[in-house]
Amino acid sequence: MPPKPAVRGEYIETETGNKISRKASVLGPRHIILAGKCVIQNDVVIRGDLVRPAQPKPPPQQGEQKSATPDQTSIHLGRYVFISPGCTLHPPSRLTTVANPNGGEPQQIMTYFMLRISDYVYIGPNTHVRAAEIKSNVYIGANCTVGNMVIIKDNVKILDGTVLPANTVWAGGTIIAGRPGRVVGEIGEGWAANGTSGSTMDEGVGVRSRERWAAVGNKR
Amino acid sequence: MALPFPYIFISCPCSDVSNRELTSKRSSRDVELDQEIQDDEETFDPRHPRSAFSLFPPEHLLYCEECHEIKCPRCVTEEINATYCPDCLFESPKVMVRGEGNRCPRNCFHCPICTSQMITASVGDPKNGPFILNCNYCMWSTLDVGIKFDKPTGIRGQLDEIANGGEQKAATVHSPYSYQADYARKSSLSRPPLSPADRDEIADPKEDSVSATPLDPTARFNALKTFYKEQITESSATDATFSTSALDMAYSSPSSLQRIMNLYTNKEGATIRARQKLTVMREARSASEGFALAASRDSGVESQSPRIDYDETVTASQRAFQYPSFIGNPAALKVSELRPMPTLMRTKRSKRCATCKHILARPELKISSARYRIKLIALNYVPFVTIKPLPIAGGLPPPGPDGGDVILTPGKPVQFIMTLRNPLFDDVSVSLGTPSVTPGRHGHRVTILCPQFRLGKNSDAWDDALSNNNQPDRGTGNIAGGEQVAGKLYDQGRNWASVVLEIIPASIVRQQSEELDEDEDVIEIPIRVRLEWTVTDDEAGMERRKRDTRLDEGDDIDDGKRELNYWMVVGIGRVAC
Repeated sequence: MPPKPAVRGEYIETETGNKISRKASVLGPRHIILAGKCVIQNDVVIRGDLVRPAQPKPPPQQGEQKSATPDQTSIHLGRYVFISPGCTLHPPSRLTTVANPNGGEPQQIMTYFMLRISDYVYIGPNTHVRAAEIKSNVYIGANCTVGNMVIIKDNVKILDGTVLPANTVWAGGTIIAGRPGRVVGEIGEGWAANGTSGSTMDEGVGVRSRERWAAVGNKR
Repeated sequence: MALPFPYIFISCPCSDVSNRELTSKRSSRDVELDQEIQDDEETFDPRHPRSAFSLFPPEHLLYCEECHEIKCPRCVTEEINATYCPDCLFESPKVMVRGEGNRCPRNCFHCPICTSQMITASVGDPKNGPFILNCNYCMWSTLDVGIKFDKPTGIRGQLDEIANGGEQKAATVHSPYSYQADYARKSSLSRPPLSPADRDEIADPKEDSVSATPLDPTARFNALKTFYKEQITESSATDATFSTSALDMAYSSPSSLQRIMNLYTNKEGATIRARQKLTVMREARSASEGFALAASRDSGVESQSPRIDYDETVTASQRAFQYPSFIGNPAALKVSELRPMPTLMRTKRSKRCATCKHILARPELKISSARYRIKLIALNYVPFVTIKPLPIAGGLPPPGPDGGDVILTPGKPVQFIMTLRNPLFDDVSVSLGTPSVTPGRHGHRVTILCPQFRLGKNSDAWDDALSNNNQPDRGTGNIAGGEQVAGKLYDQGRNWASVVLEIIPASIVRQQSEELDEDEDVIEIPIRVRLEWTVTDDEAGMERRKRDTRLDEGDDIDDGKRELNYWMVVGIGRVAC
């Protein structure tokens, strides 16, 4: 396949449909995985460089060592993830106990973990995300703070200006608002379609995400 | 309006009682005709105070396959499928939930100051503790009230035994709803009633240990309850008309009903018996029985309202957060008297149609799963509507996909493209009706250039590719091809069609002193949507045949024709003023 003619637009568009603004600062791109059709807008900061250091001999008996492969991935974005201008994606961190390589007492060191964002996630302008996991069909409004190691489950809508404190877990199907965030409502059944792929069923989140994706890009 | 423009609301037909009665009789033609006439006469006013209760975002609506109607959250009944803690996502069995006060029985707590989730942290050795609960938002921790835990697990159980300050709680607190509280007392047959001598022996040693520390209100309540139950049992042990089951206040049980009836029927007998046997119930007199001395007047003033710094007092919402009293401390005056509150449980609920009891939505039982086994959402039946400004020179700039604030200049006509996307696997004929002038104080002129059209059936992308060559000929004569022509569609695709909507905003005139009502400048357009389609797929065919066999029983014949009428409200933007 002949290479595409180089388009010097505002966005870098990849084969899989990712659109990344040239004005975004993406650090450590080799530690970042985009599943496709992601949009990263201008002035977004993605700290892919904050990756867990490669461990040649992983210390035994640690519970967190289960994830051996994502050692080298710091940020994973699913399909149709939309990152609005001015956002920061920062991998979560935690103190972990590691055996001292020189022998003796085990040490506590700050370790970065993976920031995993699933499909159809929208993140509004100027929001700071340091979550451990954001599942599918999540809408995060503008000027929010998602604290360290936060876990957000499927089908959650977070209104503008919400602060989710560190280490909190947010169950699915809810609307969250306030500082600190608390559950203020429930999301309707029609918020997201069934997981069955291949259907062309129109539902709020899917259509919006596809439209959002289509709306940005280089002018042709 | 909190929502960005443009937004869509659908009015559930359930709000209009007369409307509902008419539509339920689907067979009679003339009733429908009546209704049509009626509909033409009265338009839906989105500003009417009543209409606010029937307007829902489309994703909140369900559709009943039996009633062929849209169902809003008000016309469904809910059933609890599972109860779980939203913080640790553990399910609790139904029997346990009540006794635990509908709160997480494990380690999940919320901060009494800011209501945020609390995290178990270690102060000392990371493995062996001691442990505290820490709020990551306001940095309050249980150390502030002098509570530490020995283990990082089972914190609810540990906290129940520790009072603020770290001392052991005076008495083990049972929830008044707890099943374990005094289960054996349910029937006096299972245990002989305590004789007074017995009880004194038991009560005395307790008295010595307990009387030093007064019971907290919950423990006192439980103590008084057991004490008076015993008293009633004793005083009425020989009274045949007074059954022991009445002690549990089981008003609905047949035996207590009979007792009450007896009071009325043999009045004389009762009075005679009462005269014969005159047992006097004594009152509680020891602390273990729940007796407490009221603070005397002169010393009371000092102790009741000690001087507290304003910073140390609790707010009303913090006190409200402390309910119920057997878990928290709703009587707290000082911040140091507050207790961390266990997380309230949440439920997974299935929804049934209130009229025909058909299940409309049933979630999967697994807590971690967000999926549904059954989900009949309205968006699978009614067209999905999107609205964009017409891309012409001098028109409005295209908004973002999430909308924004749209401001229209009064008197200047603005065109919008309204796209309807058909989710059904059948062709649908759509007719849109709108009042030419919107109801309310400010009449904005509205025109839909093509109010009647047909939407193609939805199909899988694969089908579409196979039948690609014969698609374009459908309804070609009706497409204006991106022009605004009255009576013609703006554009059309496989399962969607776009129509042009023209609005001439009225100018809002007001006096100098006059204040504009909230959102009075918002243009909301009511649109009556009428959908008609014929169900053709196999499943409906089966249903039809089934119905045909029931034909002799005089049931309605389902010819597969479906019809749906509803009011839709479109929020377009604001008028500049």
